[in-house]
Amino acid sequence: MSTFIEQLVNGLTIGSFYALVALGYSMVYGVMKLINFAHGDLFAFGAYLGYTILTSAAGKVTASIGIWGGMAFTAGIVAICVAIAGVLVERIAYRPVYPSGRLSLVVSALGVAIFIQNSIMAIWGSRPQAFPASVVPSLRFSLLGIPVTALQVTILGISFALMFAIWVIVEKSTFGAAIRASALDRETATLLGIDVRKVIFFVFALGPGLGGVAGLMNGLYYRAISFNMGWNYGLKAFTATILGGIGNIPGAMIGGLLLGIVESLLSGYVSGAWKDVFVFLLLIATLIFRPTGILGEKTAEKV
Amino acid sequence: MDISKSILDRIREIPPKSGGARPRLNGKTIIFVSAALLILFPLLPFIDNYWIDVGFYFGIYALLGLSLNIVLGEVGLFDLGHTAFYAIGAYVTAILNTRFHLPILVLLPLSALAAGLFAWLVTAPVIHLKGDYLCIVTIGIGEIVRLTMINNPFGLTGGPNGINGIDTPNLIVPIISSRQFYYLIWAIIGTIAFGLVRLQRSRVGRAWNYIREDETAAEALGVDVRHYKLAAFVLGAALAGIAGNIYASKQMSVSPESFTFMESSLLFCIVLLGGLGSIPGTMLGALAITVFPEIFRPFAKYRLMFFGLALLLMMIFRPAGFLPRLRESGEALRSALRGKRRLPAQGKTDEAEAGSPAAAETETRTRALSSLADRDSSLLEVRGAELSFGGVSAVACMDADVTKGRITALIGPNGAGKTTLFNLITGIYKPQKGKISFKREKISGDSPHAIVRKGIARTFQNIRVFPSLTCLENVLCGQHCRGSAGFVASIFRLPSQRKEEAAMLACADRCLERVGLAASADRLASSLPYGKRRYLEIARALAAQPDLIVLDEPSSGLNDGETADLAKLLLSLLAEGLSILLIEHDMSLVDMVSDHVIVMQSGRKIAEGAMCDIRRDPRVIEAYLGSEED
Repeated sequence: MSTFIEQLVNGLTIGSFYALVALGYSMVYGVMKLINFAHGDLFAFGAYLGYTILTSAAGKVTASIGIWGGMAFTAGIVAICVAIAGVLVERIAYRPVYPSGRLSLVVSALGVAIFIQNSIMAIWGSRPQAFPASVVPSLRFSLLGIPVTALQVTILGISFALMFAIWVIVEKSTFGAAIRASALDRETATLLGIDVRKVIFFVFALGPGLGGVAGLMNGLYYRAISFNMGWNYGLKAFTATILGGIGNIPGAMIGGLLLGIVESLLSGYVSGAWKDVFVFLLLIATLIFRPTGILGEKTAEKV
Repeated sequence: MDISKSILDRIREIPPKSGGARPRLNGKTIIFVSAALLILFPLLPFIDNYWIDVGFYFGIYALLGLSLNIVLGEVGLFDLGHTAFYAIGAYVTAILNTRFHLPILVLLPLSALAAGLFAWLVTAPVIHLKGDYLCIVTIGIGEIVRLTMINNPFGLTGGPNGINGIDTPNLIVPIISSRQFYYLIWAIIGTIAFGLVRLQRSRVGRAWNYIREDETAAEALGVDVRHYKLAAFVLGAALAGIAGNIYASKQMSVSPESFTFMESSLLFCIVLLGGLGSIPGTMLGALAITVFPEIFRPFAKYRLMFFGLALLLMMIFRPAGFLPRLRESGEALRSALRGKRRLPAQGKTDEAEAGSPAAAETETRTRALSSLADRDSSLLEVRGAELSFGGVSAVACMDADVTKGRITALIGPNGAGKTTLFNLITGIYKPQKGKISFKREKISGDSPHAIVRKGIARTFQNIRVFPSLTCLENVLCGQHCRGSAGFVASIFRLPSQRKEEAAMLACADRCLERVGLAASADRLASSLPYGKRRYLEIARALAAQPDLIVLDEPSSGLNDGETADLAKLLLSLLAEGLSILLIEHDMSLVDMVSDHVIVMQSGRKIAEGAMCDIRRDPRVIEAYLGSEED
């Protein structure tokens, strides 16, 4: 039983990374109808950026404002930098290609993904990097009889707070209504006076910003990062997006958490090696039997 | 308004630059020169084995590119997991060769077969998914195959290290040297490319392009979309399997590292860089992908970075690719059929016999006569048809009849369910209750392409022509369901296929002429002005040689003069024995042509009869006409 609970907590933690990354995919897909293949690599970029800030000048950041302060400071910088990178990706790679159609956009997205991944490799090297123990809080305690680490609690807390904030913005605010309107029908939204460019700017800043923070937290959690980690996390997060219903914001969160738990239970009870195979089978099964996801609605194509 | 329009029309009359009709002045020369270059390349004195190997891998990527081009370029299916099929080919070769010592060349067709079969198994359940959804599934399939190979099930795949010690092929002499492998792969590519070019210019290749351009319209005009999509995947996978076989024997080993997502994305880029559906373009794309890393070898660390950047720049500045595919003119299609041995004139009389104007006229006359004979007998019956979308009833207990040799008009306010009823009749939706029969045969539940074959062809409310195909090719779509030539007949240009193709072309020409578009046959549909696209759709439907033609708001967007011309066309079609069902908002057109009018409101029929009676019906006036005439 206790292993089950441990797996569950572990799954929830991983799931919250997926959920944060999935939010970015889902928002961008909603407005642009584009799978942003670069998103996973922006996640990796966030992890590396955080690594550099925390380890630069022999951990001066952590030394001067403490472990928790250092993490918060780093997360802020990472969020801002990755958000800027996200906006740049849209400006440089997607906006000029948008009129040429979906297929060209896919190639452009693949091009950016390859570019970012290999830039990370060129800057930080191809060997995996490790976060030193001194920058990661090692506090452990027992919560209602479940052994957890302070880091886990913090990650879950921050993730849920961020998800709640996004949910409020997208579902409750006027600007959120503009995002949802642009996702439903970009042209009509433009005709109704919604500045779709502003919406695009927003989703390309917010999505990668969240993804960058998720990348940092992932690095702190596992303490090891590699330049090509973005692809795998990106694909998983995208699976989560599909599970929850593409373009659906609460769906992305639920899909992410669910995927994390399923994955963790699979590797705990079935087989670690075959875990990913099951995940992709789940993805395909979802698309066959419920292509609009758990929370998606059925829509008919207009003929 | 009118003046400006006519000027615009005149501007559009100017043949577009890439209108498909461009004479292939030096096409043959280019093919000849590149073939000669490819043959001579390994014999050049300053080319060492290293560069011959680069030429070999260029060949592997060209073959893989051609195989993906079928799925992605011809049919427009996003396949980002194509490496899975390549991997299956390579592993089938590796496993069967190392365990049972089957010779590599025997395994070549077996690998193709295995990859094709695998593709059929995995894509059959997901082939209905659209665009990005299919793309995600293919990524999933690619990953599942790669992970399975790493996990070494039953000790078959050798895990992360793969399988070593694969034999080399033995073609009379053993094929070992770089040069021999080079010629082997390029001989295979030559053969395959020859077959693919022939497929492109056949009923099969056109069906693929119709699906890429507009899946719904293709299905509604008689193309079995599911069949052709699956066929594309199976053929594409089989060719990738061949590439896998040769790759495995050249490397003498296989390992999961060669079959990553990165590889699939490279293939995707090859097709897009070259130009969607273009065979020479794909080859050029493969060349770019293979040579690029060689040129940037000194900057090893940054070369993939540059590569990503290059992809990006290419998509910004030349999104259509290096060599976008040009469409063949009607003349090119015809001359290809004549073959080389026969004199052109002789060939023409010989093959066009079935579709000669005289024969067509006889056919029309017989139809007109037989139609007159049983005029007014029931052709189409809708009985109690019902369809609702998520609780909203679109069509409810609908009865409707269309009689032979008459024009029946379906009118009603917006949202009355007219188009939904059309979609029920043409099979795009299936009725939840009720029955639709055509010529006393039940058709509800049939798929749209089967219904076209039975004799109902349609047009669409929001025009759905195939934009990047020529008008002639658009109209040939209607003829698709009247032909039967498949892959083998098309690749070998069997006499039956030539005859059929000639008849199809003749029929398409007639239909274009019927609507006054004969002069635009070789223009791309996208270059036609709006009104003419409507006529093109009508010609396309006529080409299906239907008994009943179903027109969804044919006059919308036409001015009064054009509407009058349309009325004339409809009446002359009627005289030729065709029956017509149309949805119309333009009451003057309904008045001019219709024999019988059915009025719908909120998914139900509220009145029917002759137009003069309908005008006086109080329910109709209240629901519809009243508000308009006030």
